[in-house]
This record gives sequence, structure tokens and C-alpha cells, in this order.
Amino acid sequence: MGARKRIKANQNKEDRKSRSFAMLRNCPTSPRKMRLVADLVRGEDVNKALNILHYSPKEAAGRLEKLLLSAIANWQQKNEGVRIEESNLVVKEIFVDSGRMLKRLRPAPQGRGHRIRKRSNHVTLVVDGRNSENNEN
Amino acid sequence: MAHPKHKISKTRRNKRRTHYKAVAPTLASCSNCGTAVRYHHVCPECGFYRGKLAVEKLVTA
Repeated sequence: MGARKRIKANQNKEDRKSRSFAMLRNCPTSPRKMRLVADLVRGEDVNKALNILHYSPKEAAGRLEKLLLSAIANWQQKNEGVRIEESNLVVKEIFVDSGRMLKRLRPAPQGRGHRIRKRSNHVTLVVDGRNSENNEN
Repeated sequence: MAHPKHKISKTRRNKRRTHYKAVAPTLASCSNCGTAVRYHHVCPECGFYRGKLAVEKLVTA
């Protein structure tokens, strides 16, 4: 591995230690549908985000609700003894990447076949306190 | 048959989609216990609706 890559990899490793996040991998909905819901909760207060996700009729919302709960639990693991209510947690970062695509064939006219792409996605969700030092830019 | 003359660019397609968003549910807080509830729905926590007990909570043994 080249020096630059190694430095970057170590930096990423250190970043992981300080941030509380949760990942949802290989979620079987398309990234476009997932992004609609992810955009609803980006930057929101954690409690508000949980309520939005709980009552949203979107299918992806239920999955994201579980993910957010997981991220909060991860945060609690890293900050033991700190109360969640007092630390003003927000959904600091949330992004959706496309996952692997399953390819299926659908019969089309004149003996052809059209490809159906059954998409899936990965979601990364970072929670952080609103007033923590990581938030200053 | 009519056919599109040009491919729609990524920019144009993405611009069209900027107004295509999911709508967040409108939520109120329950007058009895303060949890978030949907309008015109009984509170799932305490079973109150408009200040009165509407549904008794099921006690699972």
C-alpha cells in the first residue's frame, strides 16, 4: 500500500473511533426510494426523527427507524454515563449508497428480453450531539 | 410515433426531481401523556383522544 493510502486509511480508522454511526447494508429497496426518506430526517433532532420515521407511511421508514435506534445505542456504548436526553443528539449525517443489483429478465416483444434491475442500497447514519466539538466547522 | 429527440441530461433529470420529496407526517403531542400522535388518531401510548379515555389499554398477562 502506498504511503498516502496508508495515512488516509489510518485517519479513517481514527475517525471511526470518535464517531457514532450505524450502517444498513444490502437493504432491498432502491436508493432513490430510500433517499426520499433519508432526506426527511437529515439534520433533525433524534427524537423528532424517530417520530417522523415511526409515522411515515413509506416502507423504507421502518428500516431507517431501526437503523437510527441502532445508531443511538452505538452512541450510548461510546459515551457511557452520558444521558441521551441531555446531549441533544441529532442525525448529523445520513447518506444512501447503491448496493448490489440483482438482474432479472422480463419478456419483451419480438423474442427479446428486457433487463430488470432489482436494486438494493446501503445506508450510513451518523449521530452526534448538537453542541459537541466535532460539530464545529 | 412520437419519440424524444434528445436524451435528458443528468442535470435536467435531477433538477426535475428536486421538488419530488416525501412528506413528513404532521404530528401533535398527546394532551394526556405528551407523546407524539397523529391527528384524528387515538394516542397509542395511553389511549386518550381529545382529552378523554377512548380505548383502554390491553394488559397482556
